[in-house]
Amino acid sequence: MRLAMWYNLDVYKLTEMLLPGFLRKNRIKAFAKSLLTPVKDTYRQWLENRRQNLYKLDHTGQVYSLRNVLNDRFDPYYRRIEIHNGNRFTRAYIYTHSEQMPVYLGSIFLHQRTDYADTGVDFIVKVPWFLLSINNYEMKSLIDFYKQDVKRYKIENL
Amino acid sequence: MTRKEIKKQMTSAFVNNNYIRAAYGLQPGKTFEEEFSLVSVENIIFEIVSIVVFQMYLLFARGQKEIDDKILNQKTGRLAWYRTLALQYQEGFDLLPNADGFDNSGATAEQIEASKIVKYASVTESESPGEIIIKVATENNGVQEPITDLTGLTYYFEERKFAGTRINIISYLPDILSLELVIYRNPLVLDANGTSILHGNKPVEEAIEQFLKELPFNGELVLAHLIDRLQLVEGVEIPHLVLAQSKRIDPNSGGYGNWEPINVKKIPVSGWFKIDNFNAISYVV
Repeated sequence: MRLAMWYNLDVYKLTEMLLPGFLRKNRIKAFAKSLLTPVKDTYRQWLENRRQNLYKLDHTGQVYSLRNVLNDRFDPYYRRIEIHNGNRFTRAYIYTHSEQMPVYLGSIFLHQRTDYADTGVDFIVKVPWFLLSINNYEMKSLIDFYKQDVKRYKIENL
Repeated sequence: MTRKEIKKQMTSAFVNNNYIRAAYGLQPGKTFEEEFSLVSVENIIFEIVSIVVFQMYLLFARGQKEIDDKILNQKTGRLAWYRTLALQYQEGFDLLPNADGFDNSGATAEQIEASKIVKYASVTESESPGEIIIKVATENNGVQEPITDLTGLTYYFEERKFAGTRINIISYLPDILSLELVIYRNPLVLDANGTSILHGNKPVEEAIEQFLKELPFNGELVLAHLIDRLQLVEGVEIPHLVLAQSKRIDPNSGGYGNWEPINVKKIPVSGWFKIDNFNAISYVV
């Protein structure tokens, strides 16, 4: 049995109950229900809408909350998605072009552009590899919806 | 909108329709209630539809209110919100996974109260972009003290902050304030050590202590206001400030740094000032 919460409404049941006994015949029942079918349908949409709105309002761009949103959506069982602070490496300059000084560095590890303090991102969303795609449109739109507007981010392999 | 109004909308459309009027032989100007009996099928159908539509109307109204309330209480991520967050911190309690706040199940009110170790908090924007500075202090037997272990608090903020905000939590020993003052005294009231001849206390030193105590946490010390306060002390003719300086904890070395002069005003780095001694105050006539 469904809980008697204020937002629950069984349109058909209510219709049947409201019919007086002498009218509870199949034809008139069917007629009354048909009349109210769009109401039932509207109610169902409203209920779903309410659920979604509450979810949106209950979640924010706070780290734990955004992490919950992403895991609820993309990794509901294992919940592996993490949110990290962005890196803030400072740039190490060797020579500028105009100095024309050749330098042989051998093989060294470089950071991505987004890992530096001046051009970097504010936070990093780390996801399991199979969730990474070229565009990640869906994930980005979800993050953009919840995050604070000025914050920059990138999505990375876990 | 009431249920009667909803039903009225339907029934008046019904009885004013020309086809219906002709089919039922209704008289113009009469209402639905005057033409149809309460137990007529027509009335009962209208009744049922109006009740169900009214239920929907109530649901929408209540749902809207629910949403409005939520919007009103939305978390803002403004500085004041971070301050509230700091004051709500409970040392030793685990966080709720899906909501703000701590898991307080099974804890007594005293335990909860005792776990709220952050008694003073102030949140300001840092000069480096995207960072906020949170200054906190606790209290031990009424005495303001720094919080020595910030790991729990840091973890808490890393979870609860808005993604991408940088948090810098500071809880240092107080900034030490040194005041070099020349007090022109009334020799009938204050002696050469600043002691009140009548009461035996040191009213100037007490006034300074009281002034610092009244500053809010992370409040700005304005030297002119301090001097104004000293002017009110009985026996003080001219409070003259020669030099005010302060030193603060250097986060790199962990000890106090060098004395820095205060010009006009100063916000203590730790959030509050303390005076070690009043040796630099001299009383002259």
